[in-house]
Amino acid sequence: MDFFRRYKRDKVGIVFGALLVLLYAVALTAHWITPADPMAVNLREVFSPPSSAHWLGTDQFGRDVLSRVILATQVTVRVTSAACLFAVLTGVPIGMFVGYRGGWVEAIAMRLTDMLLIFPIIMLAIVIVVVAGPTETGVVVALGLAQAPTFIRIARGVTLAAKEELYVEAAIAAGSGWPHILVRHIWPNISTPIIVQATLTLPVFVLNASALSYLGLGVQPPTPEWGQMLNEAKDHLITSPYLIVGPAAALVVFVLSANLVGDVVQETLNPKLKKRK
Amino acid sequence: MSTEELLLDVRALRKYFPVRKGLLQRTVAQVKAVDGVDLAVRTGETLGLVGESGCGKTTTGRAILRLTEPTSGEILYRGRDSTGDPDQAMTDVVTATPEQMKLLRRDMQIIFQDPYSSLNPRMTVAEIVAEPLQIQGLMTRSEREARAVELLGAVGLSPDHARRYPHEFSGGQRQRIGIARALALRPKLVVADEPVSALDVSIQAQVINLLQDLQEQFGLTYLFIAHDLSVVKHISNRVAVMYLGKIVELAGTRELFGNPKHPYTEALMSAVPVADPDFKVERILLEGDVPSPVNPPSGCHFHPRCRYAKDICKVEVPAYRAVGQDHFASCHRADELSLYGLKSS
Amino acid sequence: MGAAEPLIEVKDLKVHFHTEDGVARAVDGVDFAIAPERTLGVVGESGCGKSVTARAVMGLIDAPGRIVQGEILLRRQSQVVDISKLDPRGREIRGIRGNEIAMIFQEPMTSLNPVFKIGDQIVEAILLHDRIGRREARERAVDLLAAVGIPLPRQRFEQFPHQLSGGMRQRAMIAMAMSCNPRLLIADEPTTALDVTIQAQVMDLMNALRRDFNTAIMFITHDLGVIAGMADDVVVMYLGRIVESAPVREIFHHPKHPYTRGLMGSIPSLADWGARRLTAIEGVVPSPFAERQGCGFAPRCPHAMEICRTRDPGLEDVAPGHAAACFLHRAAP
Repeated sequence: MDFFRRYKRDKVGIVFGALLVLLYAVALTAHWITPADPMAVNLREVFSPPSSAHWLGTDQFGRDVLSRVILATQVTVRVTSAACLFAVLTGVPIGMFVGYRGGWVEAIAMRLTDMLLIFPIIMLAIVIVVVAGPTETGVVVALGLAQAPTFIRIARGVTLAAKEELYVEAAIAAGSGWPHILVRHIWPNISTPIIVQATLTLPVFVLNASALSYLGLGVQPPTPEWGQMLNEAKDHLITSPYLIVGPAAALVVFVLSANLVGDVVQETLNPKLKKRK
Repeated sequence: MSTEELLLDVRALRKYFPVRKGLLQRTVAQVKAVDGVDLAVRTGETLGLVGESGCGKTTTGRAILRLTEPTSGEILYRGRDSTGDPDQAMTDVVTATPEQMKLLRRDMQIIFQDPYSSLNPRMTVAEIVAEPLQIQGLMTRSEREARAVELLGAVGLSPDHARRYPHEFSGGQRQRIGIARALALRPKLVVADEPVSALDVSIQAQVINLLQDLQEQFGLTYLFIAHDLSVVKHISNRVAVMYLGKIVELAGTRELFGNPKHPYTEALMSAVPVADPDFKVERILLEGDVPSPVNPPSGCHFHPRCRYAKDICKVEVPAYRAVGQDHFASCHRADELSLYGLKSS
Repeated sequence: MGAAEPLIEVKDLKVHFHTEDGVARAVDGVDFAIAPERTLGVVGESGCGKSVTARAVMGLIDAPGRIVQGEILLRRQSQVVDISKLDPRGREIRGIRGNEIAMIFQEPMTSLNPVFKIGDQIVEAILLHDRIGRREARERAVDLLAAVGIPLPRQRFEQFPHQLSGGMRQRAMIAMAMSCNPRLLIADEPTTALDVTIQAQVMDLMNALRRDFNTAIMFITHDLGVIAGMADDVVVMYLGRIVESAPVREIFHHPKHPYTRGLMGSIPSLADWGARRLTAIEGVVPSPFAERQGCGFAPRCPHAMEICRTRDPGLEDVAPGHAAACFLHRAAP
């Protein structure tokens, strides 16, 4: 396809695209590639520095940090993908409907969205976690709801432009109602910017997920998660600084790759945006 | 001709667009895009609707199909009863229920000006052409596909175009696809809104000829909206001239062009450049621009640009009245003026 | 075309666009000349290369476009300049642009800056080329606005482009173009976006200016009616080439090239009654990326012969002052 032909021209896109693919591959195969059992407590081997047996050392319970980072990758990818899907599936239909419908429905919906947008995500998460309990589902819902308004806004924006096309009018002239128009004419023509937006917000999901678990509101121990591993590592920062390397590096690489890949995807689909030489 | 049956009878059609301003979006004025249009379309004819930009001709067409809700007025359409005979009573499109409207839409279709925006780039040509049938819940999937291929043939495209996407076609071919879609439901009335003005000169003729062929083949009635007088004259049986939201003159094509009764029609005709360096006409240059439809001039809307204007034209709105056999105009001086028309040779 | 030394002479001009999809031969070997005070009408459909030719004469061809061949000779008092060899951003072309050759476009908004007053923009244009005082330039701008038929020129001077109607904007742009008494005015579809009654006003204005300013005009349009009313000489372009060239009466009364005939047959005219069917040109305009073989019009030509598909006819005289690129009008080869 034309998209890949043009994407391949961007070196940044290739390098960081490969990194992102690698992280996803790690996530998918986590159970088979972990060198040790990430959950296995070994109190005789606590805080051992990096060695050939434990490349990233062991933590306060003697668990292999590398294996925990690998498992955490899987957890993060699972949680953020689910949250992203949740945000898209709630935000996009609402945005499309109110954008197409217009009038007072749109006005009210957009004011509500604005209110949701200014609500701090941590507050939202606390409320949800208190209600739903600190389960993975609770985390997914909290992360998803926090980003849903972004998708409502974007879906509405592109719908406003798409509904002005004459083929929409042609469908109305043939007797079509709004569901057919949204599914057949609006969605196929706005899916691209929405996919781009989803890629662009992926790092935000990852950072938010880590922030939540760092605060103890996210994925609960003993299941590893980057933010929560960082939280544990900070307590031993002076004595065992190597504990922070694995989760921090994984987080940085993931967020950076996802950001850059998002940019390149956007530029590839919309060459006018290309500003860098 | 006057005894022919009416297919569409538009009465006192108005469409105002509010001009909103400020934080509270209060309505501060009305754009009177269509301001009391009476228009009767006869079965099987081509009625040309001509005027300059902003005169309301496109809004009239869209309001007739209720693609924009009329502010007031009646749009009476003669449907068919269960036996296929013309209905005695006409249905008012404006007050039709959603169910009635959906059925009416089978009878009334539209062809757009812009061949690019009017085709969904994500659908194949066959899907585009068959879509009206799908929306109306007619036929099975494979029947619809067969019908689409048949329609493509009718508009001069080949069956192997069916699986391609719009971007693979030129403007003229895309316009043919749009025409095929408009015909899918076997409509009686087709509103053609500037169907050739976005096309190249050599392609315009193809599409005009096609529209004429299809009219004969399918017994269509056209409301042909255009700004190009030459094209309107070529294709129409009768022509209505619009200015600032109102019809100022309506007559049979020969009568209108040969014996215009409204000074605006005369000026419009004389302004059209003719592709003949020796064709000398008396150029009647209209002063100034078309005034704003937000705040149209008093009396006759045309009086500030009219070289025949008298005092009465500034204060009194002229009635739209019969000025001859099947010839209507709204000009106070229609009977006394002798205006320049095209000589028929 | 006229006995006088031509003001501008274009010889075998080729402008190609190097794009991702290949090389588009937008202008592919074009020759014409414009004598002082004459109006040359350039007719053709979209993609025929008429606008690119005009931009080349203005020295406005920019990447991905490139003049790959040919000369554009502008005759000045003493010397002849080849515009095609000048740097499009250089000093010399800027001295020609606006000063000796001015251009007006289809959409006046693209050449008027929306954030400056109309009058100030004209004053700027004058000051750029003439060493006169601001006050004097201002007076001249007001005179120009009056000359192009803008009512209340002093008030209009203070207005912004968006406050003017389409017709008024086109007049303002013409005033700006005429501000330095150019010897050649290039008008690229200047009336296409206007309503007929406004188009008639602008055509009238341009004809009057031509008399008053003694300016030569290169008038580009797709509208044969407009050409008939404006031009002294006409060239018809198709696929980057001139297919026919003749004085205006000659070309309308004795068109030779099948494409010219086709164009004339495909427009309905207010002047004729009766003819129920237009003679359309079949097919579509081929892609400018395609390799040319023989006559570019042959695939759509109702009279195409064997030779037309293999050999390039080239533009040759068929009558004095009348040239056509067509084998139909040649003695048997």
